[in-house]
Amino acid sequence: MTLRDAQLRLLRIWMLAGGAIILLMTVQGLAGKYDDRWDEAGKWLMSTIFPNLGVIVGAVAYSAQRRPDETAIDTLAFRSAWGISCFYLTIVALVLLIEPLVRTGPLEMMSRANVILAPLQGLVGTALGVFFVSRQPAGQTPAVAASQG
Amino acid sequence: MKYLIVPLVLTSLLSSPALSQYGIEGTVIEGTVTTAPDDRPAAAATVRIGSLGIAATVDSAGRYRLVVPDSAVARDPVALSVQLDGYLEAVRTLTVRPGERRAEVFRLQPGAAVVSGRVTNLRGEPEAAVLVRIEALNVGASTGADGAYRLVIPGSRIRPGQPVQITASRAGLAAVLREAALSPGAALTQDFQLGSSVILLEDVVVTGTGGVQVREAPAAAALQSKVAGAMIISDSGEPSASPFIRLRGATSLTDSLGEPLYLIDGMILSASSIDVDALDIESIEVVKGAAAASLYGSRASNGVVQITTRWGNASRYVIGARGGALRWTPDFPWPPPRWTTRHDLPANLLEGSDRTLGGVFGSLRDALIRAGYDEWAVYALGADGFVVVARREVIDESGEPIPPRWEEDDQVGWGEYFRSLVFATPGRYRIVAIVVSPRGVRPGGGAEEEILTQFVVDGSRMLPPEYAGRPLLPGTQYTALIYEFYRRTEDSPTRLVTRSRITSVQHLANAQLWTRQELLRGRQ
Repeated sequence: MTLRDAQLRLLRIWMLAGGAIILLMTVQGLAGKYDDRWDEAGKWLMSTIFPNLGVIVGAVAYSAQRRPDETAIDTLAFRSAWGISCFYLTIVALVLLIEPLVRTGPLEMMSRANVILAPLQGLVGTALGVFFVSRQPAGQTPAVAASQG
Repeated sequence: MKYLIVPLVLTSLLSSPALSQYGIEGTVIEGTVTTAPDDRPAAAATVRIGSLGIAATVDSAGRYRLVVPDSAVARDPVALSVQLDGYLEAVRTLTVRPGERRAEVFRLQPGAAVVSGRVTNLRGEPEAAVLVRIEALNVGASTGADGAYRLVIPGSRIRPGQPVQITASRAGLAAVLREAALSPGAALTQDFQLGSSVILLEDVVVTGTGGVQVREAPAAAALQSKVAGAMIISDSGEPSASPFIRLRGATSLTDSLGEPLYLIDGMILSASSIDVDALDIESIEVVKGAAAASLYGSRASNGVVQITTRWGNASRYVIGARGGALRWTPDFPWPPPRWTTRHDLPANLLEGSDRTLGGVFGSLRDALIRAGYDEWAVYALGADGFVVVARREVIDESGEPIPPRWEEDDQVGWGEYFRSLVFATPGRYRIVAIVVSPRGVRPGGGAEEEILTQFVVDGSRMLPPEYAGRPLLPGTQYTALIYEFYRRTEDSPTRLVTRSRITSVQHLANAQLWTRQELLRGRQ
């Protein structure tokens, strides 16, 4: 897998899942789900989705301005970043989707979820960072790297 | 590329919830502070975060604004407190995050009023065991060996500047009455100096219907030589042994003791369970012979000793039964918490043919069971009334119960799920309290939903039989107090609705306790 392919895959998962979460919270806010505490919900959304989304979008945008980088990537680093991203986005989505079942209140759920999301987001950021600076050992073609991965 | 990535990663880490709290942005905490029960702005109250040394004063509109500087924001929760003279301090624990803007609303409860002082005689010596009381508020205390006393009155039971009469009295001393003005949170010192009073014992008049005027007659021993045919017998040489009373000799071959029936404020108790402070006794009535039997049946074959205490109208002597054990029925706060709406129930809706408290309770219980209530609690209201608090139910905007009625529905269908996912789920609740009492009902302090819900847990299930046999006093009224609570979202606090679109008749009819016609015209 080339670096460009890996970047696009990460971008896809973050745009789809992150976009759905943003869309859901926007609809909730407009429907009055958060009443006059919409700003608290918005802050939670900003701090959970946008930092990492910004990293990926920035990296892809940077790459798009240069010649396509067909360098083979470290597949372990990519899979780690992709897996942790999926896990993180699932947790964020669950916070919103479970709330109607437990009737705790969405802001209360977000406050509780921060206990897990805070360290997890750091982990996601680190995994993405490791992935973006990783490279295959010199002399390996993408085919060799793929067979080893 | 990697030189661009590192700063981007660092930016994401720094803006994450884990790290963003370390002084990156400032924090504003603002809101309003009002006072219960009338929700007036708590002007001049102080709002502070003690651990950070930050404070603000509430303005005349009840608003405040605290700004927490970046350098002061820390990981640990902080305590946000509000203080105002005469009111209980409100404290809330917050986790402050940089750049956050929080709204915190407070409603201060009135603090307790304290009346204290010393009681001395004319020589300036302290007088012990003097009863100091405020009749109107049903509070009292006895002085200790140093003559000191202390009365604590909850702030919700008094209004600012309320005039009261404080009385100090004891056997052998002339009672003294003082006028004072009480306010929530006030500390009042009132000393008394009591002079001697000559005690005149009148003849004990035994009657089957009336009361006995026995002044300053302490306990059973005082009946010695006072009642014809009354023998005070102690079967132990111990000075502290409780004596028993025999009226007119042995009346049974098998009942060797021949003890009379004891009643305290209308409650039948065995001699061994009587534990009344002699100084709490207001009067003792002795009923013998046919008069006793006609009043209390065969149990009174050995006569009846009826003790009325000074607190005869106080609920601390009302006994409830739960789980087979006797326990005191807790007091219902009087005046009752402020309600949403009330309805005066027609007398013929509840009164039975026997015209007793038990008959009224039976009618109420039947109505509750018919309406589907499976939980309620009974509270004493003096010796001549009671309060029944029904279980909290979930209702809609029109006051109709929402299935399953008693709790939020745990079974969520797909339609309900998606609706709750997008829209806020407001909550509306109703608690009904029926007051049976000859005294008028006026609102007291603010009602909290959690406290009222707890009433259903703490009270008794049934009216004690001895209490139930009491006749209804003339002027007994039946008042339904309806407490309607509302919260806008799951995160909002639940507040009492002070102006409801639902009338009292609609509430009671929707609760299925009675029909509209019955509520307006009584039973036809």
